[in-house]
Amino acid sequence: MKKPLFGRRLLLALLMSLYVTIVSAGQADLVKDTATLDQDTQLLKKAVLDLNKDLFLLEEELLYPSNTQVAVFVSMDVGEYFALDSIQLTMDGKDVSNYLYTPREVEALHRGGVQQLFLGNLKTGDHELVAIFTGKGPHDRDYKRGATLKFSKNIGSKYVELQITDREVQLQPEFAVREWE
Amino acid sequence: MKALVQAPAALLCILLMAGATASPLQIGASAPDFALPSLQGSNLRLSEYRSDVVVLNFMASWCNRCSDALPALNSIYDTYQPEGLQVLAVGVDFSSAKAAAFADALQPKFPLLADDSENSVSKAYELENLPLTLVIDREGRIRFVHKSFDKDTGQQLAAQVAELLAE
Repeated sequence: MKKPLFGRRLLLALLMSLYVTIVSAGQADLVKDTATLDQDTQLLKKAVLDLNKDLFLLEEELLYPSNTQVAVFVSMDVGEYFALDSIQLTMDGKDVSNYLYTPREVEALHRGGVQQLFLGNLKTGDHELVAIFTGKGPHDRDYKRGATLKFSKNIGSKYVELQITDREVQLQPEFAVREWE
Repeated sequence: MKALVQAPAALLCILLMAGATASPLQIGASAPDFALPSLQGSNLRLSEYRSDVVVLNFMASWCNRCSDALPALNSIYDTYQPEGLQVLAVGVDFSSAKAAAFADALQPKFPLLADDSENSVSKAYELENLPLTLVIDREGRIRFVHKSFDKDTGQQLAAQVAELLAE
């Protein structure tokens, strides 16, 4: 009577071990598949980012060809005497940008950041750029100043920088516009 | 063969045209970015809250229903602000001194922003009626739109905010 029972137990044990082997093999496959899927997702994300970068460059090249391109940048040095609120930019009497600065953006400029305020196209010839800076000046008073640049646009890109600096001697901010060579 | 080439081109054109005419209030569309001065002082830019859930409310000083929405918005802000919620209210007529006094009387716990003289933000959102409330997810997409504000809207907003914060 004992032998068949022993045989059944042995058979059960064999079946159990076979089941465990199959399940663990399946789990290993699943882990492998998940890892491969993660890698594929990362590769896909990278491809999308690369494509996005290429599209951005292509868009910029098509919309603003280097022959007619004009870019205006903003930088700030110290800025203790002026809290920047906004910059209004006009090109040949036409408003091209009216930018409102948040405290985070001003902080970024204080840290040495340079912001691209405007990117556009201009024909070759003489042009006039006017920048109006609004904010709080010394003693927390409302402060509004303008800076003008007359420049000649030739074939090739033109880069202009609006600089906000401190004039220590007069305890006043200074606004300058300069062309990048 | 020609048809095979033309079909994707036509599809692309349709997609581009659909994208060009898409309403900014479409669910899933990116919320148009803006920067506006707040009545509390500093300027605020919507995209700076990209990792937060944002409830964006449009109101006016002459709109009674808009001021009725304030207690509900204050309550939602109190509850969910620590978890990453930002509430911004844009006043279409907040550039006048009278409207600023009105806003002071409301005592909101969140920033009140004044739309510019050309109402460029209201135009960007194709504002047709007030109050208008949008719920924007952490990636800057519009997920829920409420074109009115009644007694149930507060509860609906709270549930939607909780859902987006949990994502």
